[in-house]
Amino acid sequence: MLYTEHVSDPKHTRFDLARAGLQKRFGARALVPARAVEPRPPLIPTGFAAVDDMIGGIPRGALTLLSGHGASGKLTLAYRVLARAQHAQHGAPGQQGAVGILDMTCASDPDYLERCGVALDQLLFARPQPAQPLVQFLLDWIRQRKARAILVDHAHDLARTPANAYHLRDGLPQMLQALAQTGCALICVAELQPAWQSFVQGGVLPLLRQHAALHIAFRHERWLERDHELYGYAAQLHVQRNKWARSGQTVSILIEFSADEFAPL
Amino acid sequence: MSVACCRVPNFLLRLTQRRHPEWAGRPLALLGADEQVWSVSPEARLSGVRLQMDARQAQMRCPDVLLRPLDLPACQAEQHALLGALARSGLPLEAQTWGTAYVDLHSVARTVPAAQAVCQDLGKQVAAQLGAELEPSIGWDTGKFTARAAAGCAKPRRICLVDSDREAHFLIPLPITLLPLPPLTLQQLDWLGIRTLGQFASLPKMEVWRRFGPAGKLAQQWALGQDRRPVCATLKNIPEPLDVAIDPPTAVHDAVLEQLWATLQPPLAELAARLEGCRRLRLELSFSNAESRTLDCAFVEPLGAGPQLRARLSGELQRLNWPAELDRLRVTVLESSELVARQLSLFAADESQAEIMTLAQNLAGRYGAVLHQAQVVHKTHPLFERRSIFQAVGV
Amino acid sequence: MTRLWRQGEASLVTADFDQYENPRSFKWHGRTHAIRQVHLRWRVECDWWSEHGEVARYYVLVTTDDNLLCLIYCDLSDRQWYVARLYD
Repeated sequence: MLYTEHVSDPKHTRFDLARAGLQKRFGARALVPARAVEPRPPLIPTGFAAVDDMIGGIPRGALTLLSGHGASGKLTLAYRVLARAQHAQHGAPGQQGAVGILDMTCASDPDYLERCGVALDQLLFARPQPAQPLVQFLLDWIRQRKARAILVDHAHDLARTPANAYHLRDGLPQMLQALAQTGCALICVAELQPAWQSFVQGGVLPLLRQHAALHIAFRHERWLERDHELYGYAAQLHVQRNKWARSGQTVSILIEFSADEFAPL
Repeated sequence: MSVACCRVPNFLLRLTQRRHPEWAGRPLALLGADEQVWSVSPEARLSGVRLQMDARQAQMRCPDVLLRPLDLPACQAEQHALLGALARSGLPLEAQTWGTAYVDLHSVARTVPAAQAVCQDLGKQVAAQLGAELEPSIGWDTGKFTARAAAGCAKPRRICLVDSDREAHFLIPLPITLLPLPPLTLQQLDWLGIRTLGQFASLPKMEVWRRFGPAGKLAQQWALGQDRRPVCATLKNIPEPLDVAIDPPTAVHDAVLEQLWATLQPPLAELAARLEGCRRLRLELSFSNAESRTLDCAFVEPLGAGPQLRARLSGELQRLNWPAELDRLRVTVLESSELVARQLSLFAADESQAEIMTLAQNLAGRYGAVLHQAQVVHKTHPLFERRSIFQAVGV
Repeated sequence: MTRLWRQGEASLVTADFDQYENPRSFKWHGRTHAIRQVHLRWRVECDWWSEHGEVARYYVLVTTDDNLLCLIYCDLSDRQWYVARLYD
């Protein structure tokens, strides 16, 4: 709940007492000054109606984390967000905008990107070497103000070397500031790993979780089959954290493939 | 030679909007028989909808897009009306694509003043036949390619006459996408920085031939204003029918389509080397019960060895009633003509591409060639990694 | 499909096959993935005239017990298995 502060008002003291009582009973966040809440930034629709109804979309100017394992739809959703981010309404009228993918493993699939609606002529793939300063590279890219959204596929690539891991911890607040200033949406996709691998590779995921304005956890629900033929899968999305709305909601999505997306014609 | 090219831009779109004025000003994409986008309104184009996309891709680019099927019979009727208006001149005529046709003026006008008078008459006849919304523009030159380029430069209801002395000069600044080259060739040229006809024309001839084959060599000649192709509606010599291997007799459409497609590759490749596509072909089917069928497939636009032609053939085979197993199949390419240059939007020299290049160059200075762009070049290649190519940018 | 490895990610398929000669599991990035079901199989032979030389592969589309949907293939020239695509 929000309230507006009244200064030099005889009722102010009584208001303060009431506020203190409520916050003591329900917690400090139950009642916060209106000026303390940041306005919600513009959102990029995901293209999944249920998800957009739930959270509105992916916030621009902030970090979003999509985590999950296996066929859970996180990359498909991320690709569709890139396609929507290119859409005219998110930039100068009548002009498509550029988006980017940090593609360290060189595993992005242009064919599928195009099927998800991404305009390839307005998409840049960045493939720096692991030894290069990745956080600084991302910062420089964001600050150019020419990318409406950047997808990091895969989040763990940001910290493959000890130097990059250190710079990530150090540079993340700076990166968040750059995102807010430029309005660029940074979307990190993270594959959940076994505990031993997380231990060895360090805490990239906890670090991103801590700083993400939006964190959605994806979980594979079931395979979709028709006459014993696989045509897609269902996944469940759980909002772990949402800076501008309540978290904890869950929604299901369906991802269906057309016949030619499996075997070639 | 003396050739006029009569062109009604956005022919399909304008016809449709004339029948449905309520669709004007809205993002509109017209779907052809193959469920792909055949025509796009400027509003839809702004949102990224492009030709040859399927309906789903178009909707993803522009959620508000109005997807409507093309009224093919109505469009064909207007196309015939256009050709009929031009044919009244009694001059040799060759249809190129929707709303575009060549007229051979060699017998009546070989100089600029004479050509101007004839072109004005042609334009008036077409405008009178088609109505105000379908205003033609006309280009004239000694060759078909330059005449078509001139028609593209002319505004509606205007004529652009290119004197033979000015041919090469006229073509220099025009975009290379006027040439009906395969998308991969155009992409490679773009990456080499070759974006205009003048730049392409100035490349060493031997290198062009070595790298891009006979099609590239022919395209370069056109870019120099050297196009000696006559205006003709049909092939003078109809080639021999090709036998498609059907052994054993089968009723499986897919298997027949595969064999038919494989048989058509060599003649289609030969046409592609001349920058031509198939406009009409004949299928002669013989069945195991001694019955036979003949299918004449005509295409308004010449088709190359791509998914559009394959989809059409598949549709024709499926629509036909098969009385028994297919025993024998023969195919003849009856008519061919110049391919349509579709890639006008591929390398739009707009601000956003320039911005990408600037970004890439700025980052390359510090990090090297780390930025790439990709293009899907073969949507149906059996090896998935061959469907797309990557190219470094900014270096 | 979303991840496509152009060179194929080398994988080790365990040596047990079922009676249809389909792999039962494969090892990739340190984890063994048991195959739940084989959905599609096909063979590709092409491009003998290309600069890459002849290509002959046997593709298998599989789902695993840990909910991966993968396309793996056997390169028939060296009989090695690779992961080609991971659907997400």
